[in-house]
Amino acid sequence: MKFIKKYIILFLSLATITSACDGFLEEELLSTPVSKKFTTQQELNSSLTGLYSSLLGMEKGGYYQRWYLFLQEVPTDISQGSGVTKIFNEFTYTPEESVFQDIYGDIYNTVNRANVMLEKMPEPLNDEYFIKVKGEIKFLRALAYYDLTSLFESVVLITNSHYDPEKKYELSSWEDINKFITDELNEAINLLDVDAPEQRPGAVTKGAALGLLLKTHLRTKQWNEVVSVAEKIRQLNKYDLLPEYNDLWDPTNPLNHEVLFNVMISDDAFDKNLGSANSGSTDLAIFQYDFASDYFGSGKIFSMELKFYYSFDQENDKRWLDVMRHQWINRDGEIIKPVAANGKPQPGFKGPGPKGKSLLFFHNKYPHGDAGKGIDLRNDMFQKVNLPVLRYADVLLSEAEALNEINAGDTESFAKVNAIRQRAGLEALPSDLTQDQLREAILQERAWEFFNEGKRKEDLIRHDKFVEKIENSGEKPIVVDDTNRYYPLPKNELELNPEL
Amino acid sequence: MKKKHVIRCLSRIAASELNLKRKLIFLFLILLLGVTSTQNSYSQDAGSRKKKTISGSIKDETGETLPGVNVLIKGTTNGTISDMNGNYIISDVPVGSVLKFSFIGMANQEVVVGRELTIDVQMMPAAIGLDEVVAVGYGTQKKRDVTGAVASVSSEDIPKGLNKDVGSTLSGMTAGVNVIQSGGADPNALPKIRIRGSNSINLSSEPLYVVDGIPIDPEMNNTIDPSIIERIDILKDASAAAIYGIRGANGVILIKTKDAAETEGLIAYNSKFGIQKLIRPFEYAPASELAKIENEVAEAEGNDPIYSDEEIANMGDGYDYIDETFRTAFYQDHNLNFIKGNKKNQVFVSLGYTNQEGILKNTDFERYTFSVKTSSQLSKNFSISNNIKTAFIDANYTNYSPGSSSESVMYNILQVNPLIPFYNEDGTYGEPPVGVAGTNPLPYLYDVEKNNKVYNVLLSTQLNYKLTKKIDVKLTGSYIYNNDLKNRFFPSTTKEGAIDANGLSGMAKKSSARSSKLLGDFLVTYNNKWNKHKLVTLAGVSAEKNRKELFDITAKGFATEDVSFNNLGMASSFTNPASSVISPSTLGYLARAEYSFGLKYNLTASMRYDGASVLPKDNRWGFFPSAGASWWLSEEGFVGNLKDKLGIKIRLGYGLTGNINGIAEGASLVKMDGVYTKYTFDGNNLITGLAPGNIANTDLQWEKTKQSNVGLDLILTNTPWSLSFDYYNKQTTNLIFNMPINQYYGHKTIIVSDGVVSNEGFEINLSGKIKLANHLSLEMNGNFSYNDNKVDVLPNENTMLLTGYNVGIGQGTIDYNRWMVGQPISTFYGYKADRIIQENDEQTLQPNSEPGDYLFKDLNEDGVIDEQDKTILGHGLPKYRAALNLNLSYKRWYLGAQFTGSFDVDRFNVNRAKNESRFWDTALDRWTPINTDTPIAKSGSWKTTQYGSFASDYFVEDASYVRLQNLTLGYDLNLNRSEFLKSCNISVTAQNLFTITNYSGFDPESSTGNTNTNLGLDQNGSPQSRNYLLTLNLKF
Repeated sequence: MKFIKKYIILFLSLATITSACDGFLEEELLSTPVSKKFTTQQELNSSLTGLYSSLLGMEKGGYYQRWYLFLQEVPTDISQGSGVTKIFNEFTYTPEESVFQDIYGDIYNTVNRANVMLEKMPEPLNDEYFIKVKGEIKFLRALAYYDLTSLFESVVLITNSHYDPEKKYELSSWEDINKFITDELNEAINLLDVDAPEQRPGAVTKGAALGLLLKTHLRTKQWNEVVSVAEKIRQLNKYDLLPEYNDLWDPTNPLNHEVLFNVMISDDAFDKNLGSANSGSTDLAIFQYDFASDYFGSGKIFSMELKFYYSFDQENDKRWLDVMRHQWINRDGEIIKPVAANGKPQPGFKGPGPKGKSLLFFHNKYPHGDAGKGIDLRNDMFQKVNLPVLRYADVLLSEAEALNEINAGDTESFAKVNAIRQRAGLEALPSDLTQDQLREAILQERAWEFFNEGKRKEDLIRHDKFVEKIENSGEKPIVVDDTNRYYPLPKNELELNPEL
Repeated sequence: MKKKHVIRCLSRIAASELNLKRKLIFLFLILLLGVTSTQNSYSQDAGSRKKKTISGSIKDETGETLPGVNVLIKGTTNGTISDMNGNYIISDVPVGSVLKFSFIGMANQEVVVGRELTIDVQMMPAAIGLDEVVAVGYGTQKKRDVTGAVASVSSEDIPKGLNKDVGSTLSGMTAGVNVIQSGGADPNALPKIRIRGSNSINLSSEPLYVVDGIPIDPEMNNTIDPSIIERIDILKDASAAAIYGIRGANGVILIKTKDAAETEGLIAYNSKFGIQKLIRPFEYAPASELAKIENEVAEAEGNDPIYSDEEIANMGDGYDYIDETFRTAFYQDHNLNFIKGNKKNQVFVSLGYTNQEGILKNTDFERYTFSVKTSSQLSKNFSISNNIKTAFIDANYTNYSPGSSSESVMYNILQVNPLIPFYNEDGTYGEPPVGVAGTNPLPYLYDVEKNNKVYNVLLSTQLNYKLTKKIDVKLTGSYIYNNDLKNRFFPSTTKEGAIDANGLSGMAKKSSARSSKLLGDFLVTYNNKWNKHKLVTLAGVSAEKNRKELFDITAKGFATEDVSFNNLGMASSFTNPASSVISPSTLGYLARAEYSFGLKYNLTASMRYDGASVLPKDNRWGFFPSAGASWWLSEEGFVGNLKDKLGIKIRLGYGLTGNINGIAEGASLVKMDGVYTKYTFDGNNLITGLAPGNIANTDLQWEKTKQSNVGLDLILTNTPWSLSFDYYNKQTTNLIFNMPINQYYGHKTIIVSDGVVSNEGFEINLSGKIKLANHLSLEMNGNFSYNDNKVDVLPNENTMLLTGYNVGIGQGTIDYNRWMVGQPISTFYGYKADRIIQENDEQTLQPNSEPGDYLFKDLNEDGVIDEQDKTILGHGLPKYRAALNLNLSYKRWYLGAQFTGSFDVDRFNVNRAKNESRFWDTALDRWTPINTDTPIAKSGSWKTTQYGSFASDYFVEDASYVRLQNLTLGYDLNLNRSEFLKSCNISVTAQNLFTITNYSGFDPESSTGNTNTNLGLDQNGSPQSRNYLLTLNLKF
């Protein structure tokens, strides 16, 4: 009897333990939120912030943080890479370069964040705010595809968030992707308002979507559409040129009326040391300083070409006078000046670099707030920066280009180029230029106006002058051909998808 | 009365809402009560029995007299030692008591005292202890009955030396257990342990540590003071480890700490003192000599000399940063144990203190441990035992991280230009002279504070109830709390803490990791014997709930540096705040049956049904069975009288184990992340957003390891000689893999369970003893193991995958590891160096290379050096591992030596690759236009050119070695009839006296790569030290 009692106790306790553990293994994610459909504005806004931040990439120097500008500028006649980045200047890179892999991933990350957000939108979509946000998402996804194709020409078009290990992904043609971008932007234009929501003044607006649509028409050379979209932008009565070119680069005034869309970067709340880059930060500014001759700088990843640097009207052009970097002080207190146009140090001044004669030319478009204050900038890499993606000057010059193509010697075309020149302090173009000469003048004006804004490569491609302009832009002739117009797909991506 | 009080206290604890600290105090009080009650009951016990004096002589197996034998009345401290003629006298021996005779290397003998006055004893050499009890997880087995591959290390066998964590003590002790030092003489490095190779690519291959039945995290293994370890049993094969189910795949290290025992009171004091001396890793080239070379080169090229004669004369040899930053470091270790107990109540208390200075200045490790074990027989069938272990660690550490981080002191010392003075005349740190690049490493060593404090508490209570004669019920509740605080402060002398625009300075980083683990085990065992049959069965359930909280913050711009990292309120800005909580839990049902027939056959079968919360819901549960059998062939009639001479045992085992150690929670869900999600919409205010952080995989599973084991044990009957041989074959499937995918979905990888690695090998353990002359004998224990580790299948049928481990400058993918089918996990991959490119060299293979760079071999002969010319260069996990432990004893003297060695293993010597052509003495022979016939590249070739920083066979070196790891000379003091001091043993030890190797790096054993993949990377690690220690063991 006593025995039985003991066994009963034993089994009861076993049963208790076993049943008590029901749900014991339920996984609790206490500090990790899980993706689900949007129900509140806060949820929507948080993911939206995440989507915008993807424009700054997922790597140090990712996407608009640095590499996108780098890849659009360095191979061209405007900028040069030195040291290890020389290969981009000389087209000796291989598909293995990690930069290709990184930026490809960064931009697809934007695509994915947009795709996930679109799928998480409530259905049916009634809320006015949600509808506007949908327009923003569509714009950002279109921008990502614009940039991807601008670097790699043909890419895989993904519009959902469901990875399928079995599926064979194929490249979409340049035309198909442009069509996709155009359709998406037309939809976005209808969804978006002229002004950004109050709490997000830098958000995507109708003007931004029209601006990107204009650029898409421009690169597909649909000249009439370019003109009509430009007209729509003007009808918004919102945009105009800033009176002073230099004011564009004032990081404290990023929301000026010349900007259709810009990527803004705050210097807040980051560990600012090199190596701990985070989103919301950029080290672009620091690369405008030369480590060897300027203790308080670091960079030298890319600088301008000598020929381009000295191509400005040095007496009148404010873009030269106000924005180019003409001298700085090194850690020994010496004044450093860029070398002269003949490649020799300017009389009485040391040049950049360890030996005082490196061909390094910098500008102040992305100024470092603490530059020149005797602070070691390497401890404060990340600065408030305003990166214009689309600005009204581009609308004007694109329109001028289209008008000249539609109607050679169109006076409106001259007027628009001259508006840009006038602001820069230059005289109007001679009115007797032929269509070819005006085309060339516009291309040249674009170089002076948009240097280091990530536009030069596509401009040269559109004008079919990629080889012509680049081969003699440096000190030594550069071996380049039309296959260099776009970058190779990253090697890793090809290996993972041999179908491409 | 007292019992009631205890129970009242316990119930108060349970009922009250007291905080942990107060609970601990209560527990401590209860323990103290236990101690007092022990004393009381003993005094009642000591009886009025008749006592008499006994004498006798002691001989060895050959009939020779044996001096120095310990004679002790069991359960008392009354004892003596036999004299030079082997005779002894002991008085006050109660009739009916037991005399215990013991001598090193001999089997203990116990004689019950009857009416006789003379007891003569013949001691026999200790035969292999087949009746020795071996821990097998949730229970024990007699060694005779063991069916799996279980290795045992007794604390007495561990050489005395500087071993301050459990892992280090196992080095060289048994075959198949590979202890890999991760950081030379760094006092804060924990070794990596691989039992039978590496089982996984991405998950941890560290074994499971179980202390007194309680699983602890591998990184906590330095909270256990090795001085209190009694024995360690290692479950090597799956037939043994499967009882640990989902966590058994990497083998299990079962640590048994010293127990409370029935004794009148024993105090033991163990102490070690010693020094550690740097084994100098390299010499700097005299600065003036390097300058002369530069001048000669300039002259040969027709340029002006770079340095004037005066400048060269002023340079001298330059500054020796090794001399400046390293020191002869002190080591001390003290451990005081107290044991007391009667039949009913027993207690063990231990206090430990360890202090190891690092040979690199400003680094050290200090540990205070406190341990209490009590056991009480509360009634005939009911007993309770408690186990408390606490550790407090206070360590100053430095980063030896690979990569070119200014925080890595070793990186700076390796590459410092000896022209940089230590200090300026005004006492500030020296800066590079004009025209010289580089950083002074001293501020990062002397001024940066990096402190680690660990607070660790382990509490465990076990209730044992004998339900019937055959059934035991055991309930264990345990709690482990670990708080690991890391504080760092960078003052204004460093870049991180430099004075900012507002005139403020200093940067502090705080990180805290708190973990708590609640564990409950409920076990029922059933024992039965009938005729020749013996059956032991076990069933139980084990549940574990964890909570880990992390917190991190960086503070900058301090109003004063006086408070270091202790008052973050003094800072003006805070960055990178982060916190997280995870709460994984596991639940397992386990069962085991052991059946023996006679002395011939043993069968063991076990199963565990395990669940883990981190796995996707549908794959949460796994079943882990095992079976083993052993057969004493020598006991069979058909082999005749063989068993009188030789015991032969054959073992077979098979089992399935799992590994989840390293699977992140929530892998089956899309987790939203706050990393890389910050944006400003107005150019000022930065907002944190959310973004998908992964691609979900709902098919994820645990890693499964199948292992079979065949063993053969040979024992020379009645001798100490034995040989065991084990062959194993392991296959791990379902490898957790961050499989690279196209980036179309915003992520580079998806976590999958795919791929197979295998480990096949054999192990030989040989031990025995030879009598060389009278009183002179040699004990030896040799072990040898072979392990063939290889990747069988990679995810998605890849034959080769990039590992993501890179070295060198940031361009391209300059990797040094590959995962390749058919090759070890830790495979080095890169170019074969052919020769050095000379001036006017007409090579066209490497268009961007410069004279003085390496020219690599064009293996595929396509006329260009590219990816296709890379090949396998070596592997980081040794194929062969051997150790020999010798112990020569003569009377009271003994001399122990431990040799260890690894063979067929490589190291990627990044230190040399980056630095040999710069400021080391090897740079005197580097390539220059006037010194062309040399294997050493031009200065700076490593990083400045496109082909510079590739891994090549020139820097992946054979790191086979043989080392005299430990040499100990000891003496047992003759303390005949000393009432006070019962035994005293003094020894001196030298560690790492010599190493025979062709490896040119600091230490062929060290690996700074800490994963299975980059094992064998040697970059920025601490050099090794030679240690000299004095050890004192006293028993009162």
